[in-house]
Amino acid sequence: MKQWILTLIVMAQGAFAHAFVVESGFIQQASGQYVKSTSVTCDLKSAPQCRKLCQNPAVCVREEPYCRNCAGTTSPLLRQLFTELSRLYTIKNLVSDLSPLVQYMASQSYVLLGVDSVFNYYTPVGGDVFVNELKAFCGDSAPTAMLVVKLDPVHQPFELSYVLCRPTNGETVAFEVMPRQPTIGQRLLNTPIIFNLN
Amino acid sequence: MFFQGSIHKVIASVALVGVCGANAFAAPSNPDLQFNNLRITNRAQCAIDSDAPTDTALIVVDGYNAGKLANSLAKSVGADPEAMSVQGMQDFRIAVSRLTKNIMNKLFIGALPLLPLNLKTSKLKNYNAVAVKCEKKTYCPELNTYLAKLWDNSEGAGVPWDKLDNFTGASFVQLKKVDRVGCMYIKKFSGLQGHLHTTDLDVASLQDMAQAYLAQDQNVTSCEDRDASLDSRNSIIQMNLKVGEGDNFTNYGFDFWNSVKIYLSFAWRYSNIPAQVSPQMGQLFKSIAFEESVMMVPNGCKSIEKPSCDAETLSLNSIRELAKPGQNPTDSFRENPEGPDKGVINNGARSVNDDFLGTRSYKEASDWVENFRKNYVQNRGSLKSRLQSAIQFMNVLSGAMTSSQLTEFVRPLALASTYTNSHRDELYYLCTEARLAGDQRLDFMKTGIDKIKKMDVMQKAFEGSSKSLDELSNYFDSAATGVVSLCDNLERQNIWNVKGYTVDRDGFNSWAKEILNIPASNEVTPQFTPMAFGAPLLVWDTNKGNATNNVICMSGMDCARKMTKAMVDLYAVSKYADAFLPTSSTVASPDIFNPYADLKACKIYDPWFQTRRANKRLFADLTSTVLFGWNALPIYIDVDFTAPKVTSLKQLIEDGSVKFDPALTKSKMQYSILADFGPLVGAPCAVSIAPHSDKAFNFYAFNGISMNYCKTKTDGTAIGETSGNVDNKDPKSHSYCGGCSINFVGVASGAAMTSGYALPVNPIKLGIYFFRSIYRFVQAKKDKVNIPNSSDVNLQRVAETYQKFGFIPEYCVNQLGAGVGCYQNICAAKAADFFERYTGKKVQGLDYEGPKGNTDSITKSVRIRSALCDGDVRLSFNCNDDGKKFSTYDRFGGMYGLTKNCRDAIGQNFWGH
Repeated sequence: MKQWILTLIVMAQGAFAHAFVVESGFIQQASGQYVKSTSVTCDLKSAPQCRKLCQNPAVCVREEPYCRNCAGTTSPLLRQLFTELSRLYTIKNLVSDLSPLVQYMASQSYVLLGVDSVFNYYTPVGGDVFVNELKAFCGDSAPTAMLVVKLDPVHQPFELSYVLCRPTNGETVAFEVMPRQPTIGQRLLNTPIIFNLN
Repeated sequence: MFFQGSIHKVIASVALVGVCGANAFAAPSNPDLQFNNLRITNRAQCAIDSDAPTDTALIVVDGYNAGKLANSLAKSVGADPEAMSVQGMQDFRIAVSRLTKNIMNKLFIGALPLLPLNLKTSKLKNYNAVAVKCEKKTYCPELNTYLAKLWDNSEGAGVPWDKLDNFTGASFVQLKKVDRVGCMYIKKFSGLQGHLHTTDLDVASLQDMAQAYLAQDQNVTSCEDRDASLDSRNSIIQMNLKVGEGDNFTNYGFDFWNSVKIYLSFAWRYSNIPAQVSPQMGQLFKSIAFEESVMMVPNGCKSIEKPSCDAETLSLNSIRELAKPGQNPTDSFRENPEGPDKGVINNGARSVNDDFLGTRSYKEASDWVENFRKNYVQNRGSLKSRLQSAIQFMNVLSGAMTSSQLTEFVRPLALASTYTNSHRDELYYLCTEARLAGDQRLDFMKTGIDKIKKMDVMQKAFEGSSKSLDELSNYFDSAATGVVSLCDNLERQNIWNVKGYTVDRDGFNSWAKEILNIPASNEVTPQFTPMAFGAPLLVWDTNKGNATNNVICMSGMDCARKMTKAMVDLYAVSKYADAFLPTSSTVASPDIFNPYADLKACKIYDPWFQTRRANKRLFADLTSTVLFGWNALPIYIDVDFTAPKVTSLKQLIEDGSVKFDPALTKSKMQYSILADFGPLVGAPCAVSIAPHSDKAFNFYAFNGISMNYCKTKTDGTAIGETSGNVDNKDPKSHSYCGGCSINFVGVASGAAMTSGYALPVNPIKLGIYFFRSIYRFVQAKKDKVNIPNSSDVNLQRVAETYQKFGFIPEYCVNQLGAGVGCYQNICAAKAADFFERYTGKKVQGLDYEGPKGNTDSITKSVRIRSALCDGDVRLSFNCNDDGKKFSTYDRFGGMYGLTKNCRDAIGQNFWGH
């Protein structure tokens, strides 16, 4: 997981065309096995970030670790993310400085869940239900959004760390998220409240 | 020299036979298609067998998760979703089969050590330490690291075992290196699984088995068969372990299965076997929810896990009801399940091995699996959903306000100055529900809810929740106390006792309706809408106001009611948690084919009772014959014994799991007194009174024309005690019988003889009562259901017999039931079987020579023609007439070659030495 593979395959679009972009998809190994992988491409400005990941200033590719019991309906976290994301989570802040994100990506164990995620056993894969949930975070670029889910030491999904959006100009924008705190609604003044706030 | 050479030849051939074992006469072309003998048992034997480890199991494989994964993958990579999904399911089925087979073979040849079940007696220091660390968790990295070392060693890493842990010879099974695992895909349930639908061996069932064996291709195939017509969405794989009699499997069998399950879950994510089976999806398979897709079920009465009377066994085995044909409303689906212990007592004794799970009702085995999985997944989904909603709500509520704050939000709504009828209604619901679930004084559910936090399985279910089960349990405790005291206040004020007001009972939550027996109304009831007192009390996003899904609860009352519902849901889920929640790191192995596993473990059924009763009754009968049978008094006492009865299962929580302690009423002696008034009234009439038994006593020795009147009454009632236990009252039974009969011998008519001949003894009465004692004993021992009885059927022998005769002759039934072929008699059959196993050659003809010397000698002999040599071989052996005691001689197995060629083949000289 910590191995960022140096790849000599230059992206068709050109290595330095886009800024910092995180993408996820399946690659087929020489043996024929399909593996999910994350690729990060950098431009001149963001090259230092790629160097931190894999010493290559242009592109880094990494195989995702397996996600225990994710291809099924075992994980309550995945159920929440695919069905109630916008209700249960809210944006904490925009990640302006990429360094902590890059540090996370270099050192932690995580999976990326996109609109087409194979781990979605709750709503139609690629369908509108999940896209609508993602709109709360990424607006119109919801179809290319991704959730970064951290895994625990036994590879089970543990918590939602970031939401990655990819607006039309191509660069990945990251948001830190946090579970929503429900609020106690406004009380009518004529309803007496007697409670001790301590 | 010559002799030594011959002896070496014999030794070598014996060694070879020893290796080939039972397969010598027809080694299957595909080692996957090895059949074990079928063990036919009746109810009592099935119950006894539940304590022994099984040598055959069925793996139920649900390909849904694999298929959907493949389907979604195809969409991502631009492949054909339909084709990839079919391929994915097939690969999954084969990967599961191959990996299980691989692990079993590794265990058999000692490449992997046995992982002990009983940690108290385990000497493996490191394993014990890991187990302690991992106790409260479902998955645990330390265990994975430990198992990785063992697995790498099994693949040839070469680390000495004693460096990894205190492994000794006893930690390894060491059988000879032979493919010992049969692995078959079941196309149709047939005579090949005849033990599941046969309690008593007869011609028809043997014929069914023979035909099924001869038409094998239609019924089974290798588990790695890639034929596209085999259904991989729902499949059932039979694993047969070739463990012979001398292999002591009973000693290590439970450890064996424990090891298989642990290694299987580990190796699925670690080994490269899934990748070998599926060149495209093997890596992705590691992410499949494996334990939710696979189940391992004992194929018969013996077990994979030794049953005990606790929640884990009972709730897991309640899955059995879901395997029956059709859609069955089960206890686990109810709002307030009673729990598997109630089901076990209420269901009581039932039939077994008569295909009660309906495996033969479906054309294809996969149809049966489909029905089973559908019921199972539905039940599981409902319980998981209740659990996850409850955890989520309780976390949200307790995060937003403390329990005292919640009470304070309820207070102004409870103690208002005026109430509308809807307000009264909602308060009524609040108070009733809070009392049912949270009032310590009423203790309807409160103790049960309190116990949830002591259960390990529920602690594990809370992994991933920010607040622990204990915290949420305490939250509920204090909130409920606050609400209940407000309700006490309201009751004192009599707010519901208002003219013109009746509570609308439709607004109760469904769990309360079930308890209060409020029927569902005929029209579609509109969803109850909680009252609004200003803005909603708890919302997700203040900006969204009353939008759907934004409101968590409308008011303090609504929050309190939802909190109560959440706790009731947790309580309901806890009763079946072991069966349905993903809290185990290994696949489930419910004992679905043996309902007696639970009944015996909880002492509700005692398989030895009838045997002991027959013995005790014989003794009592003989005693009363001696005491009363000899005299002229027309009095006779009949004695019987009632079975000990379990009236309730008391729940105890020990070491984090719920165990059930059966409350037994002891076996009672019942007596009835018979007064035979024949000689007194001049007509053969008699009366019997049994004050404690409901037996109608038939007291006439020979049936003639009779008119009998018997009044029998059994009265038993069950009371629900407040603690929720069901207490069956001691059944009060009595019977009064009277009758007159024209019969051949009035039993006491011998009195006439005595008075005539002045004999002190009534010989007829004595004889008849003595005869009756023995007759009753013999009849009791013939009880087909409750006296343990088993047969052992070798499918190949049955098929050979069927082919030889074209049908199964009646006299063959006993012999085939002893696991041997069919010859003139059972002794000849056992001799032939021995010959084939010893020499590895098939018997072509056999003449039974009978006993040597006098006819009751047990030394007998047969003459056998076979492919071993030209001519006959005489085989001498010891065998009593019913074939139960069969033994052979050591020297050349008791064989003597009757021709020189045969003596050479055996390795004997001219004199047979």
